Amino acid sequence: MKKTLAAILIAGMAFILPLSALADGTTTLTTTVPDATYTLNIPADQEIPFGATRTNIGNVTVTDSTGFAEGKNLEVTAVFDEIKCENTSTTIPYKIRLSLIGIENPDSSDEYLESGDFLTFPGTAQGTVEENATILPQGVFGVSGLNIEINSTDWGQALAGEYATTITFTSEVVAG
Amino acid sequence: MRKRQHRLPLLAGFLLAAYVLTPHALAATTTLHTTVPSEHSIRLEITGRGRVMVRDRSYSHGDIIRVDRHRAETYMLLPDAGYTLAAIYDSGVEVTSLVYDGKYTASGAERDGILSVAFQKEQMPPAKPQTGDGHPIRRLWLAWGAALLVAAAIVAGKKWLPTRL
Repeated sequence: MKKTLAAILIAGMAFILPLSALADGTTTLTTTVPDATYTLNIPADQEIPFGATRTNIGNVTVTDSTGFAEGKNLEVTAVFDEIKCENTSTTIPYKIRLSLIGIENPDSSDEYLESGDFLTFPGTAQGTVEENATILPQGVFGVSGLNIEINSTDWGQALAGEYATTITFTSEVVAG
Repeated sequence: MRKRQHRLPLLAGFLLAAYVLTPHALAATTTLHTTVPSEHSIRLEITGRGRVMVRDRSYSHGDIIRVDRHRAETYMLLPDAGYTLAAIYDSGVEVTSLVYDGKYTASGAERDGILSVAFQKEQMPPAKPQTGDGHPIRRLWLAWGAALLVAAAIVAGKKWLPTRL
């Protein structure tokens, strides 16, 4: 009985194994390329002194960046509106002038960041991005600071009150 | 620097791909505050002797005058006895010609400022010249008068002297 059962099993396996061998043998290897990671540093909330025609509020930088594929950059878009007051009808317009590394007087550049403009942090061969944004297409000037500029005339016309504005910085990885 | 809108058509065309390729757009905000004051400080600088009155309150050199923003303010300029107003400057701008009846009205202040007022000693009127004080014009009149008298005497003498026959 045992011999018979063993013979049946062997016969069955012999029948099955060749079929398995006929199947196409594939090996699927999977891996996950992690998203680029980075820390986006933006200027802190702060007070603009009344009457100040130029105030340095700090800089936008990127640190601890990893996992940037070759040819990828990071772009940071700035969107902002005029300085507004809830209780009055007047607004205070302003511009953001960029301080640049690589020119004789870093604070005298003619480069402005208008609402909707973006700063580019170029990718490197090490899978990171530069800490400071650069001005394209020249690409040779690093951004070292943002300066809020308000005309004296606009200060003079503003009615008394508490004013505020929000600058929204949005970053995304893009192809260079 | 390039404008985002320049790339909008391209981004729209590859919206899905863009979403897959850049799944994580990060956003952060910076809030800026400022306070526009309802009052301003006007520092008073006085040279010479005198004072300034604003809304029935007297101010002297070095005082701070608080004024409402965007509201005209009248400064009454009060020199001491024997003094007079020489000049007045509103934050560096001479406004002496705008003084009327001893008052200067400034347009509404938009920022802190300095009001500089200069008083000077009154000029003493010149003393009335006395006769024989040697004044050149007076001497000229005397000379003319003397000449007229001499001329009149000569004419009269010729008329009344007996004519030689």
